[in-house]
Amino acid sequence: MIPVRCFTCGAVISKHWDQYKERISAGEDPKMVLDDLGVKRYCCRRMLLTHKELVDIFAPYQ
Amino acid sequence: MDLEFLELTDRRARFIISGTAPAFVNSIRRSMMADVRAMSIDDVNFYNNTSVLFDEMLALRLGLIPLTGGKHYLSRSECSCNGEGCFQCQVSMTLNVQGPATVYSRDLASADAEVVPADGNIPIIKLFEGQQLLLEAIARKGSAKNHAKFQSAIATSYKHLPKFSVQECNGCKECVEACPKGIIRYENGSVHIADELECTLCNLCVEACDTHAISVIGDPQRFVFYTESDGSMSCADLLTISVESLMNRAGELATYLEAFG
Ligand code: SF4
Ligand code: SF4
Ligand SMILES: [Zn+2]
Ligand SMILES: [Zn+2]
Repeated sequence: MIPVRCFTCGAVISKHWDQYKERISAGEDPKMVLDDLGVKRYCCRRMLLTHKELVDIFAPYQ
Repeated sequence: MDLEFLELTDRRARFIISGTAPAFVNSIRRSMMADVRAMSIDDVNFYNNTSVLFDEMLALRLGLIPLTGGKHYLSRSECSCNGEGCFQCQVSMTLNVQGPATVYSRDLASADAEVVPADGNIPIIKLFEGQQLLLEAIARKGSAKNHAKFQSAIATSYKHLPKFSVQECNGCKECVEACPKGIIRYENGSVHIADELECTLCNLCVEACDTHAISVIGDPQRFVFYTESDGSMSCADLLTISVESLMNRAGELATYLEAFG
């Protein structure tokens, strides 16, 4: 799951995750999406950019 | 001392503060981060958790959700219930979601309509078929001195405004190229900064100038201050509460000093 807040500055970046994921999978450029969402600092940008969702992989092994 | 607001919304504030010293501006910054108190989920009772995350991890995620309101709540240590927990010092929230579904912060049902998640769309955990999350969360008042989850002020920072001066410029425009912020302009035979707020005092323009014509120093009395709120309170509240706390402590110090004559 996406961390609730940015590890560095504490901004609540998880609230952007659904929209970010949706727009990225529709083929949009991550840079444009992050600019659009108002995620300015690079500490926050890397949180969304580098996140890998693993819940679906863990799902069968609860 | 002078204040000029460049931006003031609930979630973001930027202002120029001038005629003061770094120590004072930094006290405001530190007080904003550590003295301002907010509500946050502090204890979680799990009744059923068949999700892929452990109880502890879910509790940590819940704690990081910013909660609005709750100004009148007391912290556990100052409450008349002596830390047992009562309506003056804690708010109970329940959450009950059955999979398949993603649990969001908006699914938390609070006993106090004022104390609710500042953002409803924070994903907590994805539940699959047959999984359930049933819990009670207790929110309490606290400050970032005890845990970072209580910190409402985000990316609180200040920097000196630049004092930019140029002598004997030969018009080579090296500095215009060198500035990573692209804020130096060459016009009518002289250079100037177009937007001093953007200057990071990196000194690259000074190094780029072969004739040593430029000098950039931080103005010791003028600062640009920036802060964001996580949504638990407005930036105006953040600022006033922190300044009040500073004033109270300065007042206390004055009385101690008087006692010493
Ligand atoms: S680098 Fe120095 S000499 Fe060249 S334009 Fe800038 S200030 Fe003038
Ligand atoms: S100090 Fe850095 S940011 Fe400021 S004007 Fe010079 S090159 Fe640009
Ligand atoms: Zn950040
Ligand atoms: Zn109490």
